[in-house]
Amino acid sequence: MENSRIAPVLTKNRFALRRKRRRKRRRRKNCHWLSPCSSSPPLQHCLSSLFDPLSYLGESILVIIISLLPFKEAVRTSVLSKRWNQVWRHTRSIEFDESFFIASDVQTQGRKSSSPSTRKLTARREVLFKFSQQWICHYRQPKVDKFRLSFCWSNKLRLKRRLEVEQWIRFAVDRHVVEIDLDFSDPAWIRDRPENHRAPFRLPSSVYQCRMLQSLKLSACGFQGFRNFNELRTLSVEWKKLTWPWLRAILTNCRMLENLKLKKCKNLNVLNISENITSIRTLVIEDCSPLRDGISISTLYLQSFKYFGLVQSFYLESLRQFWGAELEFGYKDEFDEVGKQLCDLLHAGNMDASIRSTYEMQEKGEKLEDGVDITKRTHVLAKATGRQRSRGTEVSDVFDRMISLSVNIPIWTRSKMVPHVDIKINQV
Amino acid sequence: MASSSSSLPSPSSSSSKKFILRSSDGKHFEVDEAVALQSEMIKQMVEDGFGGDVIPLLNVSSIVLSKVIDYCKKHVELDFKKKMDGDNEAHEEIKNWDSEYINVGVDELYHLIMAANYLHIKGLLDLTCQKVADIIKGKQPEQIRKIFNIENDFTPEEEQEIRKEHSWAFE
Repeated sequence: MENSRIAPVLTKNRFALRRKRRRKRRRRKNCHWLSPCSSSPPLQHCLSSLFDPLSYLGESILVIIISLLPFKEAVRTSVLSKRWNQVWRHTRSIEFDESFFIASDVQTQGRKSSSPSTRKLTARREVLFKFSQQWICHYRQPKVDKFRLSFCWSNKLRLKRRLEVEQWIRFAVDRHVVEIDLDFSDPAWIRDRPENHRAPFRLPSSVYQCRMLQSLKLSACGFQGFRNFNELRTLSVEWKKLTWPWLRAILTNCRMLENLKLKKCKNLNVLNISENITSIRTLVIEDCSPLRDGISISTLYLQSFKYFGLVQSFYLESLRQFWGAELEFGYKDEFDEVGKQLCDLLHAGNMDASIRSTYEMQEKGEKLEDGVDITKRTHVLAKATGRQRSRGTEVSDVFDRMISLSVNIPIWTRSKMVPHVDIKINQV
Repeated sequence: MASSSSSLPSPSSSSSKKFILRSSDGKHFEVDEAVALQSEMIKQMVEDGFGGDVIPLLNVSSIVLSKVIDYCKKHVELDFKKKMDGDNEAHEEIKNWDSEYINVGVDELYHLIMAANYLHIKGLLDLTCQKVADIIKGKQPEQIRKIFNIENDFTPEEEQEIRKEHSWAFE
């Protein structure tokens, strides 16, 4: 009777003692960086962690790390070890990009009637679809951070494919994606003008319900105005017909927008960014023509402005937080003097300014290598200009608009507002 | 993170409440409330009424804890500055300070991740994980294995098979 009463007490004490000892041991372990593990892990993990600390981290942490890698690099970690071969499949940053895949994978498919290069492209797209479809079928995470899809959408793409793409986007939306990037443009368009291309795909309706979306990048993808994107910080639109009233409505609806990029957007005519409309911090405009009525920016919030394209009239004011401008125009010889003055002005305002007059070589299908010396560059430019002249388009337009480049930048210093500086340059 | 310090007039005000944190090896660290509350875990403990005189942190050694406290202190200070001086400068300063702070060896990095995860300090966890991702970026699998001492438990055939499966990623 007595024994049975004492026995439990003894075992209890023994357990307490053991716990104490364990705690002591743990304390000893934790006293140095090199200690194998700071929580108390199972023994086999503890041993391996002596050699491989990363693999000992919990899966949730490895998934965070893997999601910070570009998708292709995440795939490459599959080969590290058996554990990593499981982890990469959980990445929350998903990218399906046609350019990942290589032609050698895909030689056997495609119709014989088409040219070898078309056949290669078609086959490559097939590989992309097969991979993406499989990947999505096996995905088990409840959350996706980023979804990027990039492939050249040819007219011959079947309805089935369209439905698949919509299904993938739906997959991301259902997992509360915050970053969507869809690019259906054709790399071959780069020499072309935006008006020659219609967006081959329209943003599926499911995306408009994505209230938590923070970044939306669309290239050659049609869409309607947004109303629900209260969290949207970044918007990039390429290869799209845009009118200013329509864009203004979007900006007014997305009050949190900080970064706006417009590239190859046609029909814009004018851009009037003011703080009543939007509080964007960075603005990038690339090859959006025609902007006949120029660009006018008057907002307290803008910090950086990049412009690539033909010379326009600019009107900039009240840029109190402004710290950088990058303007890149065509026609070096005409722009030289204007550029220098504008540059001096921006430097005087203690702003990081870089103004170049290299013509967008890609537009002409000529790429400048980095490190080309100035004389060579001028030569290439002259060539590009010459070709432009001989085509007989736009050139006179450019010259007409070059007559007056008016820049009005108030220079904000810490203590006071320096009076507005105006420069007006007549034709060089 | 800013939310935790929002109620305080200044990060360095002497009137603010102090907390004592005890590391796993028994050392005591006295910190301001705002600094301690950068950790969601401590915040939760305090809200649940466990925040007595000393908060024991069983999983964090003193060396790691002092480094973590450095992070929290600096971020309380910079968050405060951000509110006073406006976004731009403070943002730049945070970025520079963080990149200096995280310039540590792999072992230390690993312990910081563990601590950030245990204490639920989101900013520090993001920073440390980003650092690991940056180390991995652009490296060959062999290099990554060497840096993090990852043991390759594949047979050569298995490894070949995996490489073949996604050959496009290894080009």
